[in-house]
Amino acid sequence: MKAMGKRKRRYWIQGTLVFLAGILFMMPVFLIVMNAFKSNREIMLSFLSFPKTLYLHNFQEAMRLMNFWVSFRNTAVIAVGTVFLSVIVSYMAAYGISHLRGKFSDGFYLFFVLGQLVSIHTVMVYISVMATKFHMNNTFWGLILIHGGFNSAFGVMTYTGFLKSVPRELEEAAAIDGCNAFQIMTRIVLPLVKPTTMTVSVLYFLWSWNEFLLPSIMIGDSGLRPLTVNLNMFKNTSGTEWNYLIAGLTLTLIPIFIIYILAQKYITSGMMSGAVKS
Amino acid sequence: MHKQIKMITAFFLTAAMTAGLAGCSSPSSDSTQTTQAGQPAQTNQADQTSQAPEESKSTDKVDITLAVWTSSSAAALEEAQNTFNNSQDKINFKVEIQADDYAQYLGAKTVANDLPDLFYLNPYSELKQYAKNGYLLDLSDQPFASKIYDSTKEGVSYDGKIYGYPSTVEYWGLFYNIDVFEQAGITELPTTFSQLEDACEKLKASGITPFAATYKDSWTCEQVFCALYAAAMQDRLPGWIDDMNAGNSTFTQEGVDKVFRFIDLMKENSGTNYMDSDASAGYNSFANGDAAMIFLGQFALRSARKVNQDIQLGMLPIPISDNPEESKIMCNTGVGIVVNPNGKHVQEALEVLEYITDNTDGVRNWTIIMLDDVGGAMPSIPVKMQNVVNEPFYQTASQYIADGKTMGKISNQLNSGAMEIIKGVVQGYFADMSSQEEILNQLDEQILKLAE
Amino acid sequence: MSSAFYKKNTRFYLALLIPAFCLYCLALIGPLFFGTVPSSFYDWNIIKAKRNFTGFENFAELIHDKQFLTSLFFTLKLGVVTVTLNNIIAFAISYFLNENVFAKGFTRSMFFMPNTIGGIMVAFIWCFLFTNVLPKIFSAAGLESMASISWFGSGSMAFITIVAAAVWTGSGFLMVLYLAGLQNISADILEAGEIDGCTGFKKVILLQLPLLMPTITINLFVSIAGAFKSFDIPYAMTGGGPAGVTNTIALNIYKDAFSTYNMGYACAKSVVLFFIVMAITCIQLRFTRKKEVQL
Repeated sequence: MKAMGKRKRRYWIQGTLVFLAGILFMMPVFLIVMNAFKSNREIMLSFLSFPKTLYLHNFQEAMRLMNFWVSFRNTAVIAVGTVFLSVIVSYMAAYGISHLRGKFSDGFYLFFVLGQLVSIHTVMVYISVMATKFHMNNTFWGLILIHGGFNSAFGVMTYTGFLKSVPRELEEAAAIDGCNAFQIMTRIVLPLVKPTTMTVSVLYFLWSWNEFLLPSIMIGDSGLRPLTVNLNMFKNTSGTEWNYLIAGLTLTLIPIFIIYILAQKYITSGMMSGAVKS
Repeated sequence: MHKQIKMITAFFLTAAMTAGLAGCSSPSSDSTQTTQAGQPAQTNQADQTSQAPEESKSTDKVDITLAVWTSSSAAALEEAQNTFNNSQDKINFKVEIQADDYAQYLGAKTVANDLPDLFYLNPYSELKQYAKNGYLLDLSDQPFASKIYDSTKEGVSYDGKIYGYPSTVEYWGLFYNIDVFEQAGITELPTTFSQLEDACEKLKASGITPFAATYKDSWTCEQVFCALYAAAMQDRLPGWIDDMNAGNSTFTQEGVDKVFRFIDLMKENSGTNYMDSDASAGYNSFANGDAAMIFLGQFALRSARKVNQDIQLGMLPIPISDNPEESKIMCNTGVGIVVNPNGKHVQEALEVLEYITDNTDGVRNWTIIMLDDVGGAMPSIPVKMQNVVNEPFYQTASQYIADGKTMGKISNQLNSGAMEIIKGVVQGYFADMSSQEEILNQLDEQILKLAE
Repeated sequence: MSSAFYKKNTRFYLALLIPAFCLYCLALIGPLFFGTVPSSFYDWNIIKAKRNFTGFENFAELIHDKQFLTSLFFTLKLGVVTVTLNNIIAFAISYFLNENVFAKGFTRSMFFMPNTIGGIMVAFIWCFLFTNVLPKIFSAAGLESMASISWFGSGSMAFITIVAAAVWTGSGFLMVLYLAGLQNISADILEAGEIDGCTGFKKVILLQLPLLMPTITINLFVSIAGAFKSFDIPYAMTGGGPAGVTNTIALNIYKDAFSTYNMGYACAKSVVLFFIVMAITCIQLRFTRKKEVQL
């Protein structure tokens, strides 16, 4: 009985503390969103106070200047394409690696893992050279392919860890039932890694949604530019237009927040089984 | 090689997609599979729709692209672009604004040999280097070459030929808020250093910060330093630049103390925590009347006027010494518009350039659209401005330019790479991290390395 | 039977690697081995269009390059501090979220949210907070000495701003991984430990941390790799200032490549950076792998 009371107290005290810490963590985001509803002057003078009126001009103007719906569509196409390509490719490779034996599999694994150490700036100029040669500039598929290559380093690492812990008995039983290797991969194992797939998808989505450098180099055509590039236009030598910048930022964040919240119950369990066991 | 990669990738993509569609599907995994199958279809569609209108255009029109760096004149650029596109139906003129770092864009495109038809370049050392490498079309025979002011030719010439159209002449000085000066009881404008010191005292006495701080952005430190250094050097400047570029001179010159004396004055009069204030914050405090002066280029005024529509703007030449004759303004050809000789449609690119350089009276041409507003630079060709001519600061600047009381910007005229070095080094003096001597030594050490 | 089945399908498994391998080569390996690595042996300036083979000269020059060494040291310092703080904070949060508390999902989302914002924007937000908001909060709280700190006026303070932003945005991601690892520890083991008197802090040190070693391995790897690549936040936060003392290596390389256009030299630095990070992560992997407990 006493233990129960203690547990209950802990449930509330610890919970409240963590919750408050979470609020503190979210505070900057909250401040940004709140200030998006103020005029530039009000932002500068009273950043911390609540907006006096619901000032929507920033959003209207930011959307107009960013060419919002067009760049939103562009970003969405790039992000969705990237997620789809990267997930398929990483899963296939990780599946291969986890089923190959010996040095070969270790070698490939290491090969992909080391890719995470390469910073994009190191290879950016050559990506640009290659993009020109292969006519990948001003195309979504070019950007998606490069994103896919960069993402595969992380995806392979995460999937491989999980696949190693999938019991082989399951696959063997399926083989006896007459499934071929391809069917086992897609019918038996793929559903088992659904949490990992969700997690990796969300992360890929997030990364490509926020990616700035590659599109700013590869996409010149203003009609094909993603949100991040247009958002950066609010910052220039004649001064940062804070009001439009944070309004634009708020708009850009909404889809990510939604996707994260929708997928969040999968994320933890996916990670649990994935990266951690590699 | 490339085709193979593409084919292999395509093959596996299709294979994987059909796998998803043909199903291997236990009912529970249905949801993931439908989304997977649905997504690429959307991707393809959107891809096609976004490209379709372009293709239809390109059948009868030629695309000409002009790459520019960011300035807050995005709306003006759009207007200028549309004005041209509406005036003819042969060329589809597109202005590409490069967000963030133009140098990175330019570097990548140069290596990839994929420069746009027309693009912005920094005049002087950068433009000359591009001309030397054969990346630029000789524009000496273009109509604009005879129309531009002689003083602007130097920045866009190499080996006696003109390789770029100097579309702007930026100018630097002490811009001040006329009302705030009046409030503080400054009746006579400071023309010497000691008068400037007095003015600062008066401003502080009335609770106004004399200088708007912008020093968190190292490029503002660089511009202030360049203006002061040129002012301290006076007529010795051109010779010194040649010597530096040949690798045999030093930053430690007679009169250099005046540069640091001036920076000291700025540091004492820029309020507290001036290193935390970036250009935007500086523009704002200037616009709101918290600070009386801002020492930067005319572009700083654009956002000042945007924030505060009633602000009255004046300009002081840089009072470097106690001789008013030495007070001048810094001018620099800000943009060179150049033509890529290897572009697909050089002839059409030249037609666009002709539109850009047009200075016919009574026409709302490129120059007027881009420059005739507070914050716009001076034109390099004779154009009748309408709006900006009524501004006091503009009248001062025009007067000084007409009298030839201008100085060049050293960071553009020294070997390319100097600007980045000055940015990094000089900020150390503003932040009290290095002494005058250390600054000068570091500048020598790093900039002389650029000479070959 | 099983090994025969796997052997029979070896070709299939190898074929599965091809698409990832191709993309990976296209985006990373190709540019790296056909671009960056060869260029590091050249004296090559992009806009001067000269390209002379100089062998190891670029690498020899690095040893005397003060700016490079400063940025290397700064990156190491930043790496140690952010990796440590990130992991400690992430672990602490995940520890409490793993306990029986209310509104778990919601709280978890709040901690993860900062991770969804891109680095450049994170830097904008924190710049604003440090220059406009923190002084106001401090002076409202009567802490005038704190309110008058110049956050970007000295290297040490600017360092703190970068760390704050990096930890804020980075710990959410690691938290998710830690939380996953904690939930993966079997409840039986913990209960058995509790019966043996292993509770509270003791439980964390003696049971949870050792069992969490595989997660720690991954988290350290991910955060070290991230710390050495850190570019966005210092770039947008301080731009390397004041006077270049907060330049990270990535920033230093970037400035070489695109401000002075010394591409060959920048490539040499990139190659060195890669080997440094590889060495550090290899040591780390060895060290933490050894500590992993096999159950």
